[in-house]
Amino acid sequence: MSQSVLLINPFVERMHLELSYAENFRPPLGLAYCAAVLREHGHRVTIVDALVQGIRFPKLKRILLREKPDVVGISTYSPTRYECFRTAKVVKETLGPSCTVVTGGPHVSAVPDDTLREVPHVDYVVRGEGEYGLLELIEALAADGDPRDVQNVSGRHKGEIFHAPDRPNIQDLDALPMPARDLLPMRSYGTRMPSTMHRCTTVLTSRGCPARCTFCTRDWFSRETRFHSPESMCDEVESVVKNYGIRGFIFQDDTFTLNKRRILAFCEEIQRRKLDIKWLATTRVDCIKADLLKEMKKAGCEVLTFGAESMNPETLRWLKKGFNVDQVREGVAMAKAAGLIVRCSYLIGIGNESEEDVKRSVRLARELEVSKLKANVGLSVYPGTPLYQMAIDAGALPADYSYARGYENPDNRYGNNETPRWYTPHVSPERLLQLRRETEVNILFTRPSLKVVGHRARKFASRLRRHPGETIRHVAQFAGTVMKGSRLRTRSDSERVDDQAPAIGA
Amino acid sequence: MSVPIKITVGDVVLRGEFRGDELAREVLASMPLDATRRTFGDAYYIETPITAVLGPDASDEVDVGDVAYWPAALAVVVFFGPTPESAPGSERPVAASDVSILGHVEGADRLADAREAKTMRIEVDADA
Repeated sequence: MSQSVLLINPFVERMHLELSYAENFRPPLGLAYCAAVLREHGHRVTIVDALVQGIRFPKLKRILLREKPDVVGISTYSPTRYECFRTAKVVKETLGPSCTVVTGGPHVSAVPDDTLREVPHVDYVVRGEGEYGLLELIEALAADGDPRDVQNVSGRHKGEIFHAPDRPNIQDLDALPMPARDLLPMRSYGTRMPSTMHRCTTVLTSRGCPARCTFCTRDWFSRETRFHSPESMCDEVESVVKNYGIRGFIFQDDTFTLNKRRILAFCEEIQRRKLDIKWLATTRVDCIKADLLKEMKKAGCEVLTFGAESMNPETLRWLKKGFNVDQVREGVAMAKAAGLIVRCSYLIGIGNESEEDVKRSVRLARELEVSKLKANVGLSVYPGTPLYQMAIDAGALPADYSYARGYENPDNRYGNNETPRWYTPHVSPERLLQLRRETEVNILFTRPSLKVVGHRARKFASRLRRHPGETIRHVAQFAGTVMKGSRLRTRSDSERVDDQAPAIGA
Repeated sequence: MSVPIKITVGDVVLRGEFRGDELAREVLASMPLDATRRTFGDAYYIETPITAVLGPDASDEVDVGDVAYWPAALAVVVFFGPTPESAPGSERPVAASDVSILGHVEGADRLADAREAKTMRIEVDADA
């Protein structure tokens, strides 16, 4: 029986504000994949990307009353979990108990028990890859079947929480339909390529990552990597170019070049089809080759981001990165030699770093002379990560710690403010933030082109014309942050330290 | 000095040897390894508690039957056929990124019969 399904990417006030100025909204591909599979099986699906469209609860309620869905699905990430759970509450309050509320995503997959125990408005959690778990759950509910028989589903039965067995990961990614981008407000995502200002969107061409980085949920969520074929990758890219006129792409794979032969074939196919595109990808420093990078450049790759994380050997070991400082240098040099813009994500104040370690690590990082070095201070302890278990084992986090508790408290406006954060025990979080400012590690080294400056100026003028009051308020907020000596994008860390996030150390 | 080892995946049991170098000794010290088996084409790998980085002879060129340490995944890998990195039509495995060879097992192609097995065990061969 065909069901009416509404999928929601929840509105998060702070993310909406920050992302709208950074023009960095990205389509919720996970929801779009679920929607495509549901639609393929005859269900009526709507996606509400409340985040990009600025849909707050009053408007969401009107949409819910208009659509009257049988099932509402909400994607949940750890930083935004409070807003997701509040959204579930709004759905139940608006539509009553007859509407089934299902959550999915990395956060609830890691802690389904906590979610179901603390959030009565959530009926079911679909763990892991959502497409077929959600489909079968919806069909079981429509046919009065037993949800306990649906793999990857957790829920309540006669007051008791149950967890149905795990479902094998989807092996043949090419067999999945393309994500239902036609259900998304594609014109609202303002992400641009950094130098050319090509409007861009996201594509996911593989799932899973074999690496075991301490901070990543992949360790639990999906270690086995599966790949789309080069042909399928090109088909999706070509479809986006044709249907939306978008020629910029962000490949969201954890390790884009894990399968180098596949990427080589993809680059050849891009050139064979004469697709004039620009793209960026993320990978590991030990999963590249010089000839591959040259082919990537020829096929339109503009930016390569490495999760370098540290130039401190001990910290790299603590993070379980599996590569060393020399490999970081070699990887960065190789990518630069291929003509790519290189960016690195970076971490300071973790493991057992001393103040001297942090200073040395930053100095070595700056010597890499990459285009952008984005340094975070400390690490959020997300459930499902090895770090979470380390925090419990170290006695820094109680084994029954709840990530959901407190979601109804209106003071808890952003989930990540409440997320425990791991810092080195040898330097205080406040001093680490000061060190980040003093060492100027968080820096964009490349000067923006005139094209970029012009684009930003036009967007700002347009925003000022349309929303003068709001824009002036945001500028004042931004100026206040700068006066305090921190940049807007680093504000989250300042607030975490100043406010309430439990700080824990090794 | 080489050390005899045994690899068990489902009903398939393979025997071979680990080299006596430092990395191999470190991995041997962590045995038995018994964990969820993952795949990269015709290569099975399981996690280890070892967090080593590559040795000087590291390479992505391997042969069928090679057992190697894969730093990217902090895992021990057994190669038994082509991987996604292998040249089209080639039966020779190629690693996803550089690995350090730890040793070799005989009859590795029989691992193709163990695709349903969920775990892999690697241990010192006490019977050898």
